[in-house]
Amino acid sequence: VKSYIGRPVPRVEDERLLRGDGRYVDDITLPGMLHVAILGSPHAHARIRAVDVGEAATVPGVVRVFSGADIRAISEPLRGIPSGWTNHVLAVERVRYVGEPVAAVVAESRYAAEDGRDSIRVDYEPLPAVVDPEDAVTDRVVLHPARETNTLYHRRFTFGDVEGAFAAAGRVVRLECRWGRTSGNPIETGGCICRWDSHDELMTVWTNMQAANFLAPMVAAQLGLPAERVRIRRPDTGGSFGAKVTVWKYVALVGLLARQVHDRALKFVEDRVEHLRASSSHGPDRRYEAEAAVDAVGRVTALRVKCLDDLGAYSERRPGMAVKPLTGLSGCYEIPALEYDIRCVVTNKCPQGAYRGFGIHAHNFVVERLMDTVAGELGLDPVDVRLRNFIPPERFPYVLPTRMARYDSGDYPKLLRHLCDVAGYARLRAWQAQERGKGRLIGIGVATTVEIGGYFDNALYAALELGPAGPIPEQVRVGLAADGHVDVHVGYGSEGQGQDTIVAQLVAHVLQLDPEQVRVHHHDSGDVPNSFGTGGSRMAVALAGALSDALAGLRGQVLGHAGRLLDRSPAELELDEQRAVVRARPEIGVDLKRIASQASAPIEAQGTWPGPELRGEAFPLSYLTAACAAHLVVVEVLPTTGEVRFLDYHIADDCGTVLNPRIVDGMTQGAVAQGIGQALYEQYLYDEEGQLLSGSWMDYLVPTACEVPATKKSRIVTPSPYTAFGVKGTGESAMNTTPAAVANAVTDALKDVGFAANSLPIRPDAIWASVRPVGPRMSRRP
Amino acid sequence: MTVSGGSVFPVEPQRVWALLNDPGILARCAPGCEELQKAGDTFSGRMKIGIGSIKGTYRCQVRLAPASAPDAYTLTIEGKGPLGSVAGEVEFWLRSPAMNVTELRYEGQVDVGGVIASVGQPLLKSVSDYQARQFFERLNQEVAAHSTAAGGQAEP
Repeated sequence: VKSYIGRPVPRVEDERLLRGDGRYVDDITLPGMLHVAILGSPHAHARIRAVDVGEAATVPGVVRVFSGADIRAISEPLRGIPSGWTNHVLAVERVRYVGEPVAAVVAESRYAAEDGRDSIRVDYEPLPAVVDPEDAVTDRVVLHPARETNTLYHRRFTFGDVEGAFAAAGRVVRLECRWGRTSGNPIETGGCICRWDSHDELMTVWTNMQAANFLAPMVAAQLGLPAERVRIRRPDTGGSFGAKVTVWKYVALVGLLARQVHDRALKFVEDRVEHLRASSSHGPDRRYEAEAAVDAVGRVTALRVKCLDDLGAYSERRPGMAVKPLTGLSGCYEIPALEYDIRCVVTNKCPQGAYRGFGIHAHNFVVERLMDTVAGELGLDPVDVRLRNFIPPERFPYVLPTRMARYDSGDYPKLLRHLCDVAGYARLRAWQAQERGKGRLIGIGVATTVEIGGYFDNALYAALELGPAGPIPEQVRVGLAADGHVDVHVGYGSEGQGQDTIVAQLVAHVLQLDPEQVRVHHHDSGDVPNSFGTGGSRMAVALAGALSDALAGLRGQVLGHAGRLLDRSPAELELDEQRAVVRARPEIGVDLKRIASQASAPIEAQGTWPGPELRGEAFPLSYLTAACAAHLVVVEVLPTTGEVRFLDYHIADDCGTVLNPRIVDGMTQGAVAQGIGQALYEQYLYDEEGQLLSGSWMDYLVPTACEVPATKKSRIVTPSPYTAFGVKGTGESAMNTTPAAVANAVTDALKDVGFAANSLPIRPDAIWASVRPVGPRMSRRP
Repeated sequence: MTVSGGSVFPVEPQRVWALLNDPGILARCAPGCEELQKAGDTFSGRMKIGIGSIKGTYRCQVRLAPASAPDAYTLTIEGKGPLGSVAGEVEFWLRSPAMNVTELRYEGQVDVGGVIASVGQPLLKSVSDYQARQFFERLNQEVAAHSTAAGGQAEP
C-alpha cells in the first residue's frame, strides 16, 4: 500500500499557471463588455458640496456616470459590523479617506472611462483630518457624526486573577510597541466583472474575491437581490492573504451599476495605486502597552496587554482582527492570568480589511518582544526564558484561560530545543561574542508562536456580541467516472495555496491510485458543495475532514460493486494500483474503469467537515488545531547605513501530520517574506493631512528575493488528535514569528547602545541614529 | 510642503509687479499653462502638470492679495485635477536693493492631495522647485524683452 501523505508531490496547479495559461479576472473579455473607472477622493476628510458629471457624460465612449447621489437612490450603505460606520459604495455627503470612491464612469473602454473620470468636477469642503489614533480617541473631530464618537469598539477582557498576580509579582516588565500598517499586496489586484441578465433576473459575477461563496449572500443583500439571483464564478486568483476579502465592495459597486446598464457586462480591476490606497484591506495598525508580572525564576504569572487599533475610516469588515488575539493571547506560554484591553478607533485612513495572521500576528510580536525583555531584565538567555514559560507537553489539550481556543497537541520545549540543535545555538552565541569583540554588530533573535487553525470564528462573534457564527462547514463531492478517474467537486477558491494538490494526494492515498487520476472541479456559489473556502488556516484541516468522509463512502461503494463483479464479499477486498483486488490473492481483481462502467448507478459520495463544534458557552471554541513554530535569526546591523543583513535563518515547525512538505515550506517561506516586510520595509505612511505618502511600490517597499534570505527549515511532528490524518492548519505561522524574531535579533545586535526594536518597521534611520555615536567615524576629506 | 525661493530682475519693482499682473505674460512663463484669464484680482486657468508618471490637467485659481504691492503680496492657490488637488498660500516680497534691481523672494505652504501626494511625493519638491526656476527664468526673459522693446534701458 502506497502512502501519499507527506510526499513532496509537485503542485498540480503550477504547470498551467507557470506556462502563462492562467485565466484571471482581467483576462476575461465578454461580448459587449463595458469598463468602469472610479474617481477617488483627493482629501482625507471633506464634505462633498457638489459633484458635476455634466462634462464627463459628453466624453466620447462614456455610457453613464454615477455619483453618490445616484447610488443612494438605489442602495443602502455598505454593510459593516457594527452597522452605522460605513458609507455608500460611492461616498455620500462626506469622504473619509484619500482614494474613497466618489463617482464611477461606465464606458466602452477603460481609457474612455478614465477620460470621463478626469472630467468629473467635485466641489469639496475640506475638514480637519484625524490621522493620529490618540487624537481620534479624544473625539476632537468626530468622523461619523451620527455615532458621536470615534471609538468603534472598546472592551476589556480579564481572565484569572490579574490584579492579584501583579500585586504579588517580584518584578513587572513593561513594554510599549508599535505595529505598522501593512497589507497583503497580492500581485494580482482586486477586480470583478458583473453582468445583470434582465431576462433571467440573474447577476453573474466573475471575481477574485476571497471566500466568495461565503460572501455571496452578503453581496446579494447589498444589491437588493435574493441570494439565488447572484451567481459568483471564480477565475484563477493571483494571491490574496486576506486582501481580496474586501473585493466585495467593488462587486457591490459594479453590481449596482450593472443593474442600471442592463445586459452588458461591466469590468473593474484595481490599478496598483487604487489597491494601495483604497482597497479597504489594510492590516492592523496598533499601539501597544504591555506588562508582564514575573516571579524570581523568570516565570510570567500574568500578562496585561492594552491595544489601540487604528481601523481607518469605516467598519467595512468587523473589527475581528482586533479580537482574534483572544484565541492565542498568551502565545506558547502557560500564563494563568490574562488581560486584554482593546480599543478600536476610526481615523481618516483606508479601512482595515483582513491580512494574513488576522491580527494575532501583531499580538504575538508583543508577546515575543516581552519575553525577550523579561530575559534582558533578569539577565537570562531568551531561549531559557521561553523554556521556563512554555505550556508543558503534558498539559495538552490545553484550553486557554480565555476559553476561546483549545491547543490540541504539541511539545514546545522539544521544538525549541530541536531548533537550537539544528542551528547550533551555543556555537552561534560563542561566535557572536567573538565577532562583537571585533566591533561587528551581530544579533541573534528567537521567537515562537502558536498558529491556530481549522477556523471558523465563533469566538470572534461572541467577543463582538454578534451571536453565534454558526458552523461553517466545508463540503466536497466525489465520484468515480467511467474512465476510471476520480472527479472531486469543490466550492473553495484558490489564491495559490495548492489545495487541488492536497485533494489529489488525499484521494490518491485513500483510493490507492495515481494523483494524476484525480480531477478537481471548481463550482460556483449556489451549487453544492457548500464551502467557506480559504481563511484562518483551515483548508488542510477542512479538506482532510471532508475528503475522508466522502472517500469512505466512495470506497465502500467501489468495493461493493467490485464484490459483485468478483463474487466476493467487500470485506475481502482492498484497493491497489487503480484496481480492487482480493486481499489474500492480489492477482484476482477488477480495475476501477470496469467497476465504473458496469455500475448500475453512479458511484458518488458527498463528505462534510462540520467545523469546530459549538458548545453554547459564552466563548465557544473557534479553532481545532494549534501548530507551533520557532524561528532563530542571525543578523548583522551595519552602523554606517542602519541596514539589517541576514546572516542565517532557521525555522522549526510542528504542524502535525504534513500532507505535502513542499507546500508547507512554500507557504512558510512566503510568510517569512511578508514578516520581513513588516519588520523592516513595508508601511502605509500618512502625513498629518491624511495624505498617503507610500502610495506606490516605489515607496511602499515589498521585499524582493534580494531582501529575503533562504531559510533552513526542519520540523517535528505532533499529530492533532482532532483531525483526519492528524493534520493541523499552517502556512501563516511565520507572520506571527518573523517580525518578532527579526526585532529580537536587531535588539540583541544593538544592546550596547540600548536600542529596542519595539516599533515596526525598524527603519534604518532609527537604527543609524542610535548607533552613530559608537559606529566608525566618517572620515572627513582633507 | 514648504516652498521658498527667489529671483533677481534688472528692473524696478514696479515693472516686475506689472508683468506679474499680466495674464498674457504669466501664461507664457508658467510651465504647462494652457489657458489663463484674469478677473479682478483672480487668475483662473488650466495647467498641465506632470510629476513622473502622474500627469494631468489642473484647473487653477490664483488670487493675488496685494497687502502693500508691490513690496509684498500674497498668492492664494487652489488647483483641482483628476489626480489630486493643490491648495496653498505663498507670500511674495519685492525689494529694490539698488537702482534698476528687484529682488523677489517667496515663502509659503502648499498642500498637495490625492495620487500626486501618494505617488509623486518623493519627486514633488524637486519638480516644484524646478518649475519655479523655469518660471522665473522665463519671466526674466520677458523682462529683458520688454525692456528692449521699451527703449533698451536694461543694460546687463
